[in-house]
Amino acid sequence: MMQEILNVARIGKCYPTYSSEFSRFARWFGMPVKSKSEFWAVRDVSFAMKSGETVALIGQNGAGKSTLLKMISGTVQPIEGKVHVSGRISAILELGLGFNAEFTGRQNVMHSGGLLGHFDSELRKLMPWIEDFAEIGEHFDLPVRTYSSGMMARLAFALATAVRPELLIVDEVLSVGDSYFQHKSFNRIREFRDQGAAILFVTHGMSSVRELCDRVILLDKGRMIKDGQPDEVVDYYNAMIAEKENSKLSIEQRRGKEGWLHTTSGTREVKMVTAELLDSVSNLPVSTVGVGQAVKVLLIARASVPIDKLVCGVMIRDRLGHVVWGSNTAYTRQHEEGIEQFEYIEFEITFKCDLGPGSYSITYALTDSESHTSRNFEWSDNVIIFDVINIDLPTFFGTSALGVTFNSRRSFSMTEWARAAMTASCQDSLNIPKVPRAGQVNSEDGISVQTMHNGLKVVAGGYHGAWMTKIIRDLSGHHEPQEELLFDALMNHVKPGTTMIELGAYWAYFSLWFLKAVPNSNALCVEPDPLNLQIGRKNAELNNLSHRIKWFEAWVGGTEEENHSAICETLGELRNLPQWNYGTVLRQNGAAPIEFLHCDAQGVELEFLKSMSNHSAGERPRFIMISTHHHSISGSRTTHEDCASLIESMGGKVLAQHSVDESYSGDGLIVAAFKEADFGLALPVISLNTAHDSLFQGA
Amino acid sequence: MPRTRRFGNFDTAYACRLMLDLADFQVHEKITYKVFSEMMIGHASSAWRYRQFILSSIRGELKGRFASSKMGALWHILNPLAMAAIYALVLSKILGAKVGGVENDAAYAIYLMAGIASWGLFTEITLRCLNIFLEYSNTMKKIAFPRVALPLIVLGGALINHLLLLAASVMVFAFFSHFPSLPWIALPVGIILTAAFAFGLGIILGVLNVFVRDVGQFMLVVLQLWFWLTPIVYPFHVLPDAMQTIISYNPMLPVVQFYQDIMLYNKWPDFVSLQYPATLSIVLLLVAVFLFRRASPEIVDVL
Repeated sequence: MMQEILNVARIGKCYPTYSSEFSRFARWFGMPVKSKSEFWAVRDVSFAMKSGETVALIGQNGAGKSTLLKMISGTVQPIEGKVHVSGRISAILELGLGFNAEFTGRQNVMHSGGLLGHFDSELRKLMPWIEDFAEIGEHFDLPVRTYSSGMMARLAFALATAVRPELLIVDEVLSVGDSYFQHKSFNRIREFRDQGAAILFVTHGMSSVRELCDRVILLDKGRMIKDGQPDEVVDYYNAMIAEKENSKLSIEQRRGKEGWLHTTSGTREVKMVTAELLDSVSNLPVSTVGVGQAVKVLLIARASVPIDKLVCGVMIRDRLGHVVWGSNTAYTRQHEEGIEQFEYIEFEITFKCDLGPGSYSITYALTDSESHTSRNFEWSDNVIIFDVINIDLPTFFGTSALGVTFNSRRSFSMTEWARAAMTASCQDSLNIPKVPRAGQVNSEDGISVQTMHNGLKVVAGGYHGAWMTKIIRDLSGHHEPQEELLFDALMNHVKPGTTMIELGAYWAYFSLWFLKAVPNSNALCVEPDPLNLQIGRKNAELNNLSHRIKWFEAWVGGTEEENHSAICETLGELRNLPQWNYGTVLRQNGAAPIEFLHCDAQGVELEFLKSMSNHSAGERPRFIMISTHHHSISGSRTTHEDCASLIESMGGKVLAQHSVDESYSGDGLIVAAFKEADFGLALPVISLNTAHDSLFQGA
Repeated sequence: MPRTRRFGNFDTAYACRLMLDLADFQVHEKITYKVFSEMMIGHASSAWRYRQFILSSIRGELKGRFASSKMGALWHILNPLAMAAIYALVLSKILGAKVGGVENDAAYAIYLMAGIASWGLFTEITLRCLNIFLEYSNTMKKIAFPRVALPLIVLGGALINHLLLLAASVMVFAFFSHFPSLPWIALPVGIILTAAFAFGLGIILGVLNVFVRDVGQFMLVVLQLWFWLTPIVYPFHVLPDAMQTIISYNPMLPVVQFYQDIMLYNKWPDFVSLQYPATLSIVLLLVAVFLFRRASPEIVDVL
């Protein structure tokens, strides 16, 4: 049952001007006073709205839209005519009006809500809903003067729409706030409409008009020009704007058989003689086109007078009037110049019809520049109508054939990207201080460089690839949160002028961090893989730290060998290199004390530690950080525990550790000290992963 | 003390009838007693319906005006007290002795305080009403609500301020061993009368000020002059006879004297003398209602 909500009958508003204000006063007391001049902001406007109907009011500035809204909402009194509204009106003409800046959000709901005519008890009942809808959290109980404009809009909209009115009047206010809240606001308005409220709104956004409204009313100079279906009125409005610049222009409108509205306007100094849609191959006219079919639009225009410059524009619209595509020969820099009288100009617009199935229309325009308001020779809406059908592609919907393919894979093992998400979910590195832009990727001298949390630059994707770049981006410059939390803490304790050894250095990040954090320090990096080593060298170069690092290509293990053969990670082939044990490390490093030893030696960590146990306590490093590997790499299910107990038996102390199952990266970790003075060192507590969420899922 | 009661026999009922007859001239409708009473009921019921907004606006005004100052609303009281103190300091030697009749060193200061309290209520309501429609212009343009709420907000705020000031005065007086006595219970009569007079005048001027902004500027000057034409700083009887005759036309004279009688002399004030300002207040209120009715649809048009 469609009930009439609003009836506006021939209303008008006149603003008289008096020769002096005293004449106005005299008129109040009954003197017959003539006004000097009259300005009719609105005159003779009549329309009605039923429940559930959405009507947009359009028109140029000064057309009388605001005055009309104000008369309907009751703030301005009409001079003539009547407005009848059955039920409650809610007018959102400006958000946040009547708010007191000193009051909190909650107090303002009571205050401003009172101004909107709500009762005390009513507002108290609505309060939880308003608080919930506004989503401004604890700000709800802070003074409104501390709000951002977005928060203000949220609160104001929540208050304005807390009660469903029979008639909702919205002036173009919903363009405030973020897109999330705009979306939420529009949903709220739709909800009202679905519950039977009539919505009247003023807008300049013509696309939302077509989408939201059942009817559009066009006002011009205070008069109602048109009241009808959205496409009809909007096209007319567009043509009318063009007319303002062009007095010789005329507008014609008629509705075609298929329901498409043809609107033609212009001076006709250049006229389109023919407009056809042809198949590109056969050159035959078509009205049904397959998705992906090559077609062309043939337009032939003729000038009736000499023309300096001619631009041809074409636009494709879908059934709802949304522009799918549009351009013109001014944008493509192909406009024609110096056209003579009676000359023919032919345009061929070729395209592959990658549109979704449905009905489409082609609109063309002949103008003298890219905007049709300067000089409009001919503008014709929806001249060619054609249907697109899907002949040989899998079913899809929408207006664009994007050539999308689906690929899916199933697996129980964690892929690299899934691992990246798992690592990025660890919060341990959150509170380590970070440089601005940490984690971002920039192009420097032609290579992509990523900034780590401490400002170090590394080759983006150099360490393992793109998924690692994602981890570092997501964690703002960290790649292994647990390990880095501990390393960062240890950097407060290491002494200047010392050495760090990094075995399995790969991208050498920990060495670089050490060199950056510790003055006058050196590093010794060992890595068997030539490509990985190259990444490390490049990273050192990027940070001007090359001169402080000694590089070695070698395997790491329990014994020292001249020639050891093993499969190299990136090349996937056997490589003969010397193998280092702890003795080799000591010899190559010379006499300098080893402050920090970092070892990530793919499964041979236990053997390497054994070689360390052969050396006296005085020759051991101060701190070691050992990655312990999964049994699929090390061959033993107890590698982690064995390493830990070996360290204890050597007289060292494990300061922190996590097993493979507790890792947010891939490997287990042991941090240990060998000097008794360091045994009491308090390291931050790391979070621990659970086995089934870790890389190897407890297998 | 000599008193002039020139307007003692003013016929209030006659004045009202005169006003309504005058109103009959206008074109739109005849304002009869019936229409008039309907108007008043309308104003009262819409004010009652919007009481939440009115009350919270009053709270907002008190809160907002001094929001960023440390002592907040205390300034409301300190300002007039300081004013009285300054006048007392500067003028006590010249005028102090003239305020006879009370055995108190602070007699002149108390005299000043009484006058300033009364005058302060009058000017606060008048001046704020003068600008209230301009202040709320944007709200009036975009939200439909009873406009009568606006002057009521002013009235409420001013009355609360006034009561706070009176309370503070009592404490200051106590410091000078000057305590309230029975006649103080008549004070509300003076308060209501001052407020009614200022309210009527303020609305009339406020409405006119929307159309002719000069009214506001002009009134600032008028109120300055009016202040000095009212015996607040000086006692009425020090004036020469000619001057006394002129000043007896001042409707604020009996009102201020009413306050002074109670607050300084602790004696029963002259109720009969209030007949003139009371009648004038009723006339002004009637004009205000009438004017408000006429101008209301056009206020938004020119804002």
